[in-house]
Amino acid sequence: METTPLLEIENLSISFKTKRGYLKAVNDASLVIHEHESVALIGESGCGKTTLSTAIVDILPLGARVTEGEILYKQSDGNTVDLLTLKKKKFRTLLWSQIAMMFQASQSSFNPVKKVRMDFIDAAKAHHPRMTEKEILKKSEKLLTLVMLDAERVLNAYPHELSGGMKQRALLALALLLEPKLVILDEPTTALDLLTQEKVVALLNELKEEFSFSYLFVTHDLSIVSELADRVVTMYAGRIIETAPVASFFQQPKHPYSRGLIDAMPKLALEQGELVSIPGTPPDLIEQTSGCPFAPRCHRKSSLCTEQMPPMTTSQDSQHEYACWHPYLGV
Amino acid sequence: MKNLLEVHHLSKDFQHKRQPPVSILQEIQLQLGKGQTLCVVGESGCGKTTLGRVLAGLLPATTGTYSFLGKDVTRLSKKEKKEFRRDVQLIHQNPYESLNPTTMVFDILANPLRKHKKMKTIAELYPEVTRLLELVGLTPVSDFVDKYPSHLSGGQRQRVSIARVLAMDPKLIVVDEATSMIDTSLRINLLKTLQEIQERTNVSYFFITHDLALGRYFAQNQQLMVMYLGKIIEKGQTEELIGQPLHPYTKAILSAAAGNKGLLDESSEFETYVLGGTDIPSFTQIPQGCPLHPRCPQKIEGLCDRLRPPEIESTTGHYVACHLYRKSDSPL
Repeated sequence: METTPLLEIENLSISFKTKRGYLKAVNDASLVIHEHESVALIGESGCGKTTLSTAIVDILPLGARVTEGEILYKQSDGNTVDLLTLKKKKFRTLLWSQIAMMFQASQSSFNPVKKVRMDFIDAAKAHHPRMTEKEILKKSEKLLTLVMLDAERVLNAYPHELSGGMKQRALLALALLLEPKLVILDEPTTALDLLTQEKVVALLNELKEEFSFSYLFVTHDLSIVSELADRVVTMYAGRIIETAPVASFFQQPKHPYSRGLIDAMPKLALEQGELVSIPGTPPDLIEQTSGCPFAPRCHRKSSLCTEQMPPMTTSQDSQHEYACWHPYLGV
Repeated sequence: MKNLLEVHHLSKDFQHKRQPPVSILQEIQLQLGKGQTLCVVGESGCGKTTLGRVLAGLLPATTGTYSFLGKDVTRLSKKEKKEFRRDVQLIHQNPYESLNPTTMVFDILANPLRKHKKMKTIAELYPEVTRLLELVGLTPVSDFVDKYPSHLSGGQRQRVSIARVLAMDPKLIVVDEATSMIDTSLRINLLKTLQEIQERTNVSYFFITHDLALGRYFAQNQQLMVMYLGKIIEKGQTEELIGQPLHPYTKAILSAAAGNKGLLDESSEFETYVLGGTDIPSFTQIPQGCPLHPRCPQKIEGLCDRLRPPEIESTTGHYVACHLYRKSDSPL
């Protein structure tokens, strides 16, 4: 599937100012999201995956600053803009109408003292002031029905009257209200129970077909990745260390860390091999070392690994990209 | 063998002001032997944490009996109660909130020893704290004793709370989603530590999780049970329950948990099984009869919506609460 890139992140670095010094939460990360593509960003907590995704919509937490790099976004009129240097006012017109984000704590994303309909009306009015309430509600109802909710009931309910799964789906409808091109989902299913989770995943897949937008979703749950992603991007200690199409990510991970993650995942199939976890703990991001950040935990490391950061390399079949001196190459 | 704990017809209601009580646990029956693991799986809000809290002695049961080492827990003398408190320990879900942020790791472990084991001097306490930290793999110990919880990562904190629990030489540990806040790469390590401790100290685990694959991994060759709306709907030996699920609900969660079959488990043979509806009914309006019947694709009209299914033993040790497996000769 070769399509035009929708969002290109180039050499992005983000630092947090802390008492002990600067913490590089995202380090020289480059990432491309094509149109109609769903990209999964995986990694452990504290690897910078949420920071990277919030940088796109310019809601970095206090104390965080983009130190270098650019985020190029192809607008629907065909022009490409750098989201980082774009004027605030211009940027705000893009948000939600073209780039929508669903947060991890979607349970508290709705205004608790207003009925859910107000969130829909406010979001639409902010971008299309001339849209009437009737039009907005009609559209909202259509979307809510699409996400398998009783539209009438949900619109007239307060958020606390809805269950977690219902809120999550209502938020999804709200995100799609203005037909965005890119939807960023931060841990879309963590707060949901298993059966609801499956429904939401199926729904996300269907909606993608119907509205043809792109997803960037951040997760640590590999079974969600296997059902939702076209491409998988692995992050470790602020760096992107591997990108691969989903099938070959699971079958032939090249980076030892990706492989470790897959090996550590408990599986339900009957004949189950011994699970292996990755030894050691994630590194301190303040004390930057020159070599590969994964080297202290890696069993394939050599002296080269601790001295020099491996560059991003493209595999022979040009599907995989990885940053490792000693990748798993053969089958 | 005498069971470590036995629970019969246990139920738990919560009172509301000016509203009828809400019944969270109903008719729970379970046994757990020494050195064994029982894993309970269920969706959020199915009552599994409440059950864990009842077993840990933090909540009284409304009806039914709960006996620990042959003694009814509600009728313990003061001295026995103190022993029970020592014997049953709970590992909490969130290691970021369950450790006192102003207490050093040494004191986190030493305080319960001071209180329950009457160890007073540092000379007594230090070797014991060292032993505990080594048991949970926090070595070199001297790196950790003078740290505060905020200096530790999530996995390390959870290890500290395990060490704190082990300080009491418990006979039963209720593990309430203890690994859900831990990263995948460290999770297996932690579970392995728990399993090693079981081999060494013969402790029993009541392991609460919502992740079937994790439960299957932890309760290998042990018991697994599935809860739905406060009832145990299926119980059996782990491999058998996963390999031959009987209850429609178990089939549905297995099918949901299997992930993308083509990519993850090529060998898996889970049938795709989908329930109707999306949400668990609220506890205030539990459906009549089988709690699953409004969502069940295999329901029997006139039976499932009227009569609560009894617990049926389909094969030895494999229990299921579903009318589909009713033996034809058994009375209704």
